[in-house]
Amino acid sequence: MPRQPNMSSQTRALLGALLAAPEVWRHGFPLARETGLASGTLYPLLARLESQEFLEARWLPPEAPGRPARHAYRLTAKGRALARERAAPATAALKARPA
Amino acid sequence: MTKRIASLLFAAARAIAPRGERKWIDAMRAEAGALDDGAKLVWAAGGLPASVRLRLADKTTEFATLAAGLALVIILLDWINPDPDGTIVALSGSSALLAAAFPARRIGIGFGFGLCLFATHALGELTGVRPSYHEVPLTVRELLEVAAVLALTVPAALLGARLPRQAS
Repeated sequence: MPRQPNMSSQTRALLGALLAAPEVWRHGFPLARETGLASGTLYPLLARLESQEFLEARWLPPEAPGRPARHAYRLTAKGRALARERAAPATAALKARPA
Repeated sequence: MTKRIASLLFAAARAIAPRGERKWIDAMRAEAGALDDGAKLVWAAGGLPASVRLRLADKTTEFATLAAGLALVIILLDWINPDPDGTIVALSGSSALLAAAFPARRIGIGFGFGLCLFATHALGELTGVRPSYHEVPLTVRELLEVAAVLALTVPAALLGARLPRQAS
């Protein structure tokens, strides 16, 4: 049975950022800038939330020729419910820092 | 050059991370392809401490093995190489990486590696032998030193192998 997500300030900030546009597929770098999370913090968090079915992820085709495909994330219905309950405003929870 | 360094950082992170955790490194690497050079390097560097942290947190066995292996590398490096620069680079690099992965344990990590360095110097001073690859065959004393190094590290690995694995 998957454990409940750790409701750290980072998790709440991430949920808050994703909840701001729940239908939109979001890339990692904009999420990192928005939440102030470093890449090494953000991606394990995204992976954990995905494994717990709070997020869905997919590869999106390149936006321009010669660019790589990118992974994108958005909240599931279960994730939206969690985010509404637990999310913190992304920029208020953490100090902004370069990703 | 930046692209190459970033690629090496991702490869190292992927190699270090537990098998089940490699998916997010692939996603992170793909994202780096959309970034400019400066941001790409910072982005790539973030994966390494995270993968070390996950690796060490994954299983008690692997933590003990990794710690013993790291200690063995540092001891042998210092013992074989009369120029201490390489050892100091290896020591500070390993310590920095572990301290980045485990900020709360940075004092203990620094103390442990300092002790490791001191032990190898003491070993060299006591025995008066600093073997080199050019000196063959090994003397009995050198073989005893190798045995001493293994005696310091192998039991830790074996002990770790007997420890119960943490539930994932």
